[in-house]
Amino acid sequence: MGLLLLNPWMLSALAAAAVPVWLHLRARRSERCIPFPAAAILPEAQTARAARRRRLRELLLLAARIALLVLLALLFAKPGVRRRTESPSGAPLALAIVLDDSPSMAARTSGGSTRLEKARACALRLLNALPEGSPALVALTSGPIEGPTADRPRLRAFVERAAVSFLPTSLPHALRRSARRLEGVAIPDRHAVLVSDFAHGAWPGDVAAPDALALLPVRFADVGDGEADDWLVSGLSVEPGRLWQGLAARVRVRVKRRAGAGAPAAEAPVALRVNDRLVGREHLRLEPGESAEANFALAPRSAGPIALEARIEIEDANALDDARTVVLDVNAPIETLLVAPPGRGRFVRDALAPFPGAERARCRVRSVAPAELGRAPLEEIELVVLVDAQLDSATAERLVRFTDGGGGLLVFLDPAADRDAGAARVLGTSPRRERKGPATLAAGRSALGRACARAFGGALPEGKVQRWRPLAPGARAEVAFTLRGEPAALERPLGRGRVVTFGFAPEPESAPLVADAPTLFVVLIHESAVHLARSSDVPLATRPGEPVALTLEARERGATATIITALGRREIPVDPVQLRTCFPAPESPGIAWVETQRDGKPLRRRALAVNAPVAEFAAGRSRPPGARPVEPNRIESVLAGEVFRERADVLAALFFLFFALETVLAARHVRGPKEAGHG
Amino acid sequence: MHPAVRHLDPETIRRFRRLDLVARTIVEGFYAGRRASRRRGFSVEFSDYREYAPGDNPGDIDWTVWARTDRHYVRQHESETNLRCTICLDRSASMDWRSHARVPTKAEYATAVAAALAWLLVHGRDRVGLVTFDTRVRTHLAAKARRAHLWRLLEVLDRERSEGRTDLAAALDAAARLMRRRGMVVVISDLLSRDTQGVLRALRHLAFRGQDVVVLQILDERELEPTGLEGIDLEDPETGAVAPALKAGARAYRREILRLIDAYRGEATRGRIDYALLSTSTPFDRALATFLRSRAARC
Repeated sequence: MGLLLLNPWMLSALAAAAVPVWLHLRARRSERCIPFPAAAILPEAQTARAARRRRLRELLLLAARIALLVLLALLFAKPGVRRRTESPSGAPLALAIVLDDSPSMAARTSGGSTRLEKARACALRLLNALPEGSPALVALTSGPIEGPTADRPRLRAFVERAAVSFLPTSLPHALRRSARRLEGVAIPDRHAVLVSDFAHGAWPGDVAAPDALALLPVRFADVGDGEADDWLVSGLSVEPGRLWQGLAARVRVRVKRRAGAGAPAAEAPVALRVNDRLVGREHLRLEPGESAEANFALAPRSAGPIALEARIEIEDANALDDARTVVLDVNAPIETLLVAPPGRGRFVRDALAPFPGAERARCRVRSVAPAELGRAPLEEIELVVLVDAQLDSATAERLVRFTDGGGGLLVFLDPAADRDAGAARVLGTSPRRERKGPATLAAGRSALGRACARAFGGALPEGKVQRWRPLAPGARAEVAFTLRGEPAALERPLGRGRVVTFGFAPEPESAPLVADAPTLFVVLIHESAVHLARSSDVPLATRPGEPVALTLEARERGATATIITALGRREIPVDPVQLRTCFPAPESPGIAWVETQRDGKPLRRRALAVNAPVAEFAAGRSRPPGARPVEPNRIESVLAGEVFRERADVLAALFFLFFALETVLAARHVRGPKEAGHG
Repeated sequence: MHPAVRHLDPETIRRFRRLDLVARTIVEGFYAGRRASRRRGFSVEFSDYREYAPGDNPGDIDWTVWARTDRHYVRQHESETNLRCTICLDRSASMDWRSHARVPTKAEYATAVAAALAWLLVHGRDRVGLVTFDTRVRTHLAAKARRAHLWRLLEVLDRERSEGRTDLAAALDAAARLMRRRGMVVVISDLLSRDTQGVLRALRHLAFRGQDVVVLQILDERELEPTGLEGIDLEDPETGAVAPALKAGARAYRREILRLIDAYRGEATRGRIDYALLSTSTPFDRALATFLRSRAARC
């Protein structure tokens, strides 16, 4: 039987018990003491006896007054006792069962079942043991709550449906909600049970004890069984971040092992699969608490989305964090049309496809003569490269429509173009302007000029090319791309010419260039303009419930896009600016698809990997302070256990008893007259 | 009632600031009372009047008789035996107490009685001395009959204050050693001491040494008839000791005070001392009468 105070802060009133003590010490004898010389003749024994009686009476009075104040403070503190009730088949009671459905509950116990399965079993046993007519509720820490109700089958079904949730969970919040729901129940005998593994952070240290939080007796059943051996994939990355068909990439898988401090080193295989096809397997040996990396080479043979899955192939405490998925797009080579007079532009071709083998090139180059440009199938082309091309108006207009539709355009000019009014007219530049200084590709002067500006504008922020200079034949130069992922311009002299490179290189590369023309301006690029103008990609990986940002770009006004995910579809207007919209990721791990449509026609479809959060189930235990445990195997003892009853009646009776005693004792302390005195 | 008789009222006497006036008023009031009283009783003060004759002490002229008769008469004392009387006055703190403001303190009453006795004795050509004491003898004036000695005695009585503790027995023993010649000793005290037997022994010692002992016990009327002592703590002014309120209250105290008084009365009954119990509200003539009766018995 335990004493419990509902308002323990009222005990601060006990300080008032010092008042009678102070008054007792301060009482002056002179107030009820008169000088009386004849007192000298009174026998000493008689006066000593009287003095003893007086002291005893004063002490009793002091004790009675202190007891009155103490009892008053205790009455306001609302005391009660918890005592064991009789069998569960007694009076009905109201019960709240709080089940932890956080990811750590997916861990397997030593008995083979998961912690959540063990918790469900405890909850079902409690529901079965409830006395008839007892309402109960079941609350999951992720939020769902059922009850209070006396409908046992409904509650059992709710318990059996409970599964590990990847949404944020909170034990104190679930307990508080449950206690509030029980307040509406007209049964005074209420209890609550927490069933959890109490992993790290389950009960934060700054939260009050469960009894005080819920204002009802709370027991807890710990279904965790200490430290478990768990391997998890803590990270999965791909370098370079953009994959190209035929080009090698590296996949890094970071693995961590959590186990008790005394556990020995262990080994586990880590496998990488691409679109469910095993690519590689590496064995890692780790001590408890140690991390390591597995590296895999990847060379996708075809373009398109791929799903990379890294998985630890081992039976451990929690299977949910053994795998991680990333979805990437493998970019196909850029279909490039090189338009150059015969014998010209060889090194441009080499620059566009520096590596032998078409399958390893970022650009798949077809060459045509300028006169054949008008008949070329531009709908199959992503990038048109002009080298010293002289175009007629119809062809130029065709190129304008091509670039408006998203195609890329690069133009290489001979320095003679400075004096070639035809080319200058095409580009919209004037010879005078070129001689004076930097040449500007003026937008708006000509259709081709606008197309070039648009194409270059994606690479050069201001659409400018600076300092045209001729190249010397036979000159060699090494060109390095140093900026990752950002469009940049890099200028190097190359013989009599000049190399202006603007790239979007994910990593530094260098390639030798040899100028074979006496005068030629070279623009070297790794990314075509069309890629620069593409809409941003959907993030490759996210976590359940987290919002996903999607950036859309439209080439014309008035367009609308439809976003379709596993959760539904959404229609949004898209202006020719980048638009970011958010939508929640699915609640379960896996691969989700995001599709954008325009006017009912699919624009793009991308895959999105949804990975389970890392469960912190083994890093320390946090049991609720002050709560009383119950063995999961004896969970029914909660019902046959204790009830809380207020016992202010006893204190009130004691209060009146001491009040009567104080009154009687005080009445005997009558003060006498103050007339007698000295002369 | 003769106006002078009213002056025997202690309450009235308190109005006099000068002790000599107090003494004189008491004595003359006493005399007036005696003459006003039909009952002669014993007249130890003087036996008769006679006409003034040249050579008589003009101080013996009874001017009241002259006022009535227009003739000079002197008082003729019955005895002019040159009595040597020593007044032993208790000056302890217990004397400086009274139960209410209307009555004098025991010290004031005792001082007035002592002054009146001294006045009476000196004007009767008797020798009077003074011993004041508390735990020991404070002041000792040898017995003399001169008027200057009277003034000095009154000055001592007027100046001294009642304070300190009492050790009656020791003080009386010390006083006994100071009085080498036989005479009369008047002890004026409240006699409040647990050591009653010790005090009686000291009084017997005085008597054994040839002194005629007169004991005037002066108590406040509340000390004689205690009321309202229930639940009251009683503090001894001399020692500061507090006797907690007795359960029986006044009953217990009355028993003790009667026991004390009976002890001294018993001693008086056995003839060893003369004893009178006076209250601070008792007129002074009684004190004087007791003294004179005792003197007459021994003359």
